[in-house]
Amino acid sequence: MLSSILNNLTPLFSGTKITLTIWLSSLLISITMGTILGVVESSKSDTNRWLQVLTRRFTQLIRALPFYLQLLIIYFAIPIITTLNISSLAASIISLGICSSAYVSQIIKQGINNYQQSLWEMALLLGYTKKQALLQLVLPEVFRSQALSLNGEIDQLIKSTAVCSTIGVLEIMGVTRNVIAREMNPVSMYLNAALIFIVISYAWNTLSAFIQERIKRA
Amino acid sequence: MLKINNLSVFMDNKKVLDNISCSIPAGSIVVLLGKSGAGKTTFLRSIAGLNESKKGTILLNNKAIQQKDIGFVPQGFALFPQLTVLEQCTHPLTKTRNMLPAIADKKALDLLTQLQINEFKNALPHQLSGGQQQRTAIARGLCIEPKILLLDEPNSALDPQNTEILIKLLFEYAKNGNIIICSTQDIDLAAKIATRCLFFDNGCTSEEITVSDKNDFLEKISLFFEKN
Repeated sequence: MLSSILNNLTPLFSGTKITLTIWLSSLLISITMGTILGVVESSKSDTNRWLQVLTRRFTQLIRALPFYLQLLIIYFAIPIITTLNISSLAASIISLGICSSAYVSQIIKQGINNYQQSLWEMALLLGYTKKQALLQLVLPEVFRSQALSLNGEIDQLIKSTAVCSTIGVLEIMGVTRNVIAREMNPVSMYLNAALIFIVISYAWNTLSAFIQERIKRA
Repeated sequence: MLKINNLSVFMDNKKVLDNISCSIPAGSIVVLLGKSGAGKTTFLRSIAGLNESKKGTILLNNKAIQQKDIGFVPQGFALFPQLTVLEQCTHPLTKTRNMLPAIADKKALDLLTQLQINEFKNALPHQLSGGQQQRTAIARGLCIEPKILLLDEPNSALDPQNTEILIKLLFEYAKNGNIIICSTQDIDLAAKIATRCLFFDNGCTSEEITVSDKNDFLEKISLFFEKN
């Protein structure tokens, strides 16, 4: 197994780099879009009712479809419909980001709904605008209280990057499959891939636990 | 002068405050007395603008009351969990009133010192006792210098020594022409601070008195609680 790692160090390193690129870029989309969707969905204002319905239907739709299907639609169907050419890497990042944002939105929505009504009222009474209260008081607390659920979603995102190899992205699984086809050594290469995922996941979980501990102590 | 005319509040189509009218001159400390569920908190929330379903008018110096005129210290304290004791007071000042951080800090620290919680200025609410949380909420309420300060059971978690400090602060605050409206179950506190008193019974004010003689006032309180 060690020799298979040493022999294929360069492709495995490049595969890991692509996996990390997909993960971190889709994470950015997921958290940003998920927070916006979560805020809109949990809004109690009557003025944006149609936007709320639209958001709810969108997140329901995304959660109803398997990620694999979403990836295929974005990579194969969107270019046919729109004549827009999307690279396999971009399709992976966009589809994974959108898919995960639907789940993040539910975590954020739950956090906002659990935020005490009395604190909202107090913020408005103290003179904060709704936007100020949301950005300066509510969301920081929501991220803190929902850290465990968000960590789970981010951890899941790392593993989901493996599906992207099906459209030709040479991330860890794509590289692994190529090497196996060439060298016919599935046992050691699959174990290598597993090892890399375990290391990334372990590193993330250690960092996340450290951050959560710091937040708790702050 | 705070004028409340024919204030009625509805919750789930049920009238919980019925046609309350009163006039409160500047510098008054009004105590709301009555059993639990009599409508005292609802009355305070209505003045704070927190009850959506209400009828009647609330005017401050003949103008509609504004949010910036109100400071509210609720029963549950409503402290923001991620802000320290000092930040609970300075955050609203710097973010909503554009006060310079150094001035806000000085103002907040002065109040925290008076309320004897300055040593906990860097603590978060969950690290404080109930009494310390209550004093933080009172400091925040006073810090924004509202024309009307609403207090809901302000000494429910305070020991006698801190209650005395609170009383001193309230007198000083009212002396500057501000109005204080305080709901309490503590007859001793009521007798010490009240310049006027509203008795609540089943969502109605059964009596409004101006306190001139403390003994006479205590007698009236006893009579009210005996009747109810």
